[in-house]
Amino acid sequence: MRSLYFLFLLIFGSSSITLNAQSTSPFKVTINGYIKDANNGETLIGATAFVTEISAGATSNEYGVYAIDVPTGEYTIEFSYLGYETQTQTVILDRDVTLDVELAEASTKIEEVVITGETEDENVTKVEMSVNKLDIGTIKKMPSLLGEVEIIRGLQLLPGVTSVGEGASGFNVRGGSIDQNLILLDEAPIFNSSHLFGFFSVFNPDAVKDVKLYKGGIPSRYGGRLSSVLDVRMKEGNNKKLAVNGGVGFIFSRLSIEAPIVKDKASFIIAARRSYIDVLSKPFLPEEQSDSRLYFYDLTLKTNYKVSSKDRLFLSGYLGRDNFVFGEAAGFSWGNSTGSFRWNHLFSEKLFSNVTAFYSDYNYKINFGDDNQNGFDWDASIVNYSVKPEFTYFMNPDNLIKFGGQTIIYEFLPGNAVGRSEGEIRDFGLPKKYGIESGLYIENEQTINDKLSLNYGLRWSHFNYTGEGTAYTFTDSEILGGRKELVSTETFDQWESIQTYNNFEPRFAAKYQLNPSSSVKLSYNRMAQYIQLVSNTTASTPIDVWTPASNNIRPQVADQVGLGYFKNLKDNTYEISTEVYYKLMDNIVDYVDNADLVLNPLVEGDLIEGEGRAYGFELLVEKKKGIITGWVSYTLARTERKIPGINNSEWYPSRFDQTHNLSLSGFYELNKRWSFSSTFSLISGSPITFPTSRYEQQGYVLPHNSLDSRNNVRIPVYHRLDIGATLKGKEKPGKKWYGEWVFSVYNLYNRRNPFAIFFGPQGDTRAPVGGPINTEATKLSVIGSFIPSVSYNFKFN
Amino acid sequence: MKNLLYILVILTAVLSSCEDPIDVTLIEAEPLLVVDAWLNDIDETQVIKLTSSQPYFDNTPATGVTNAEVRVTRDDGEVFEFSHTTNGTYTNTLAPNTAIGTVGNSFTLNINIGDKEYAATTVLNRSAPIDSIRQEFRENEVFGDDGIYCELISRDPVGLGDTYWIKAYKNGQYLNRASEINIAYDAGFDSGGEIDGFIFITPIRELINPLSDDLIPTPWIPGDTVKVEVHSMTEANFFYMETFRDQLINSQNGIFAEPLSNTEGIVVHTNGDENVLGTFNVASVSSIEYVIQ
Repeated sequence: MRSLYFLFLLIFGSSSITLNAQSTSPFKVTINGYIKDANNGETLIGATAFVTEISAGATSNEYGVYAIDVPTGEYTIEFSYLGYETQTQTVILDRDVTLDVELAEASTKIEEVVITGETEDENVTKVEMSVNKLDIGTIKKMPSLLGEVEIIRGLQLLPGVTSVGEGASGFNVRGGSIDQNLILLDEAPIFNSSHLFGFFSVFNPDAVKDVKLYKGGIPSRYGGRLSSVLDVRMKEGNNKKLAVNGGVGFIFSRLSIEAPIVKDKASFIIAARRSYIDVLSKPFLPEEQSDSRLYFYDLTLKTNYKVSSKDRLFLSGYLGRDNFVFGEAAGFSWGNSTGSFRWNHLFSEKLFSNVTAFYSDYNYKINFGDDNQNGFDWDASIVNYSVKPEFTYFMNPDNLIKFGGQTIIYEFLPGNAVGRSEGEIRDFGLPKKYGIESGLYIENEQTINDKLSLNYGLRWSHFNYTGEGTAYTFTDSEILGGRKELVSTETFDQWESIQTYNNFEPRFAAKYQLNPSSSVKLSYNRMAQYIQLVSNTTASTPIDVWTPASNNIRPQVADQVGLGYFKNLKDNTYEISTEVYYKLMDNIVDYVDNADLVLNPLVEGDLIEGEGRAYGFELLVEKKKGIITGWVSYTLARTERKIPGINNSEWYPSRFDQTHNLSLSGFYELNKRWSFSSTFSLISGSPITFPTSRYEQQGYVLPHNSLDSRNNVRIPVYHRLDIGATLKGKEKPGKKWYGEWVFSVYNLYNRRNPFAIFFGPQGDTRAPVGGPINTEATKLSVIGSFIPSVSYNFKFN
Repeated sequence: MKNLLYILVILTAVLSSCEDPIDVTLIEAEPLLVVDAWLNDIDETQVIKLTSSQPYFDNTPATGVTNAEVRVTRDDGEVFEFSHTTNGTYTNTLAPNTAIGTVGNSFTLNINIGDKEYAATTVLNRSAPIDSIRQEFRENEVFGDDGIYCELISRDPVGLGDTYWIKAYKNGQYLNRASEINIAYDAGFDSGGEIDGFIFITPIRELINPLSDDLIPTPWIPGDTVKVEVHSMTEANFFYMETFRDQLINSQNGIFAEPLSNTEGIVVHTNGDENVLGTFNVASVSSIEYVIQ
């Protein structure tokens, strides 16, 4: 460790040494420990420990650990976390001290709605920008579709986060495509975040503790995706007493159990959900369809063990699957599974480490055919294994250093397919592909003075596209944007490099405090992405496959700058955040006309590279205190692509470009039992490609776009109002069972919002031979009516 | 494999999605020449249609181009002149018991309209021989009523890159729904699969059954006549037809629709740079007629 320490001194030499010169005394000591919830023992992420005498403090990290370095003396330390009682402790620090604190939930006041920040003025004082934290309690209060608490839907009410439409899987951050989001569940990546295409996310709200979305200024400890990091942390499980949570809704039933295994030392949580439309509908289906089932489920499990005051182990797992079974004739299923093992270790009061080892798998399976004579079986997957050691060094109150590395081994199975035709069997599957992605990073969060703080770092990433496998070499097509022609193939042995890439990714953020209630912030990040989702449809489908960078596909790289002004008003009752950003993306993947993306060994010949850019203005105004709380989010943005051969090789808006995106979220606490919520969204139409003309061929009428333009016209404006109400059961001392009813109406005024507009002959009718064929435009609305729902949630402890 | 998306789309019907006609304002564009030249080795009278494209919402029949000189030349020098009949229809009636050519012949189409010259060259490729139509009584299907359904039993010859347009007729009426367009690359759906030398895969075999308005296969009744023709295409025309079909059924893919690209036919404006719509293909045709028992 000592040699690493010197390495940091060398890297961060000048600034930290001069600071040390001012404050170093031979009697410096460190106070550190965990900050936890007194009720259930959950560690609190981002809680503050503040030393009043020196006006300096620290926030707890992702594992609830804080550390402050001070000269010896007697100090008053305030521990605080929004929604919790502040605790003040007086400590005599004459040597290094470990002090674990448990904060009690503020029970007397009405619950607050929290969307950002753990301390009241964090919006203004923290160096990070372009980060949104959604409190799970807030998400649970929002009106929901069919009564299901939805994390990703909640995120879409924040500036810079959009979706191509209802039912579409994933989300778009600042003009990035859905595969540019790194979605982490307890540090393991999730490759498809949706159930039932995009209607529900895979996260069980009962098991989630903390959700944080980085849209820009992404710290160097994260890498591998261009546009965002969604860091979802699971609860550790109540280590004080047994707690049961559950709910019954229209779609899912939920149940979670958490309990100590050894009180204050080890605990677990297990949370399960299952949809049950199939169970309810079965008696009503005709006989031939009684074997048809559509259902999805997920199971989340986590356990932790505090081995000693210095060591803590965590084991978490997730298993989720969507299943569609049509009798014996056809089946289709997909799902993620992840497992992660983590070891927290405190080397000293100042040096905290976490080592994660994880496994993550996304796969799908399809089968057709009811006998051995004719049919089709197909499966595909992406599997990865990773080790990630990370260190946090609480150097002194002015410098917080994080460093570490990561290696991921990927195994891509683009498609294993066997077809049977009249008893003949043919295997037309594709071989696996392999890749190794590695990264090393270091970052320092440094306070220069009262006004200026910085977070700067560097990530070095490396990708090795490796055998065993076949590398294909193509020549460019004669037509711009056309299919590339194969010229040669070469086979490689296991672990033999086919192609390597590396990138230096600098990251930087700065905050300048204008006065106690306002600040300006600046950030820059470069991100590199070595794997991508091959998807040519408006909404990504579960059968889209991930493919690595290769000798034909260069890694995507993005540079983003952001500038923001942050202001809090009326004792932090109102928070105002404004940001502008500009993002340039290189080596964005698009597809040739008639691209064949499935089970095609030469798929790389159908991919074309281009560039992308996104820029915008984001405004978030929140009211955080009072009976009425809520926020207004507004985004003015543009995201464009320039791909050879598409749109005459000129810039065009991407399919999910939305010029204006306004959302209002309001929460009203009537009394201790009744609370109401409402959300409203108003979004500019996204662009689609309209034809100009029609022509006849072989008795059919076809659309034609004479200008060859892409995404040339906007679909109509989207707007929707949802309302919700929660009725809590009466609280009595000693009562163990709490229930609450949640009522909501989605799309209250019954608007048929457009997802897309299609052009074609009227319906798919059988046109009379020689008769006229009428062409028309039709609007597709995914949700065609208002959707009321009721759900019941309960808690037992 | 695009047809697999279809199954996803059925699933989204679980939700209350809906489609409404909508008025939209389109960008205007100049009319373009449309060449509809699908010749084959069976018909006595070969037909080529020349029309103009028109604004998308103009629901009148296409206007014919009547003043063209149209000629097809076989690679051995044989010339077929096409003469105008009505409203842009040009025909050539071959001598009895002759065909326009045999497998392996190539053909050049020349069209002159005023001083504008257009041309295209294609090859007559082999078709897949048809073995039989197989009928089967089915009950308790997940989709579709109980009744008699048919399958086309035909094997794609060995060798990559054979492409077909399979046309089915019920009692003499061509099944012309967009979703009934049945094209094959070798024995499978598209070029990547390398499903070569097989009997056509099940979905292709079964797409000769007429579809209902809900696009579910409907049964045949005894006495019905099933006629199936397998027309060969060139690979370029297969890609043309793939886009053609996708454009017509794209809306069925709902939220999984793909961005539309224009059809790319093979006819070019040789003494200028006008775009030409439509295409030129000469097919070898294998066919079968079967009466349901």
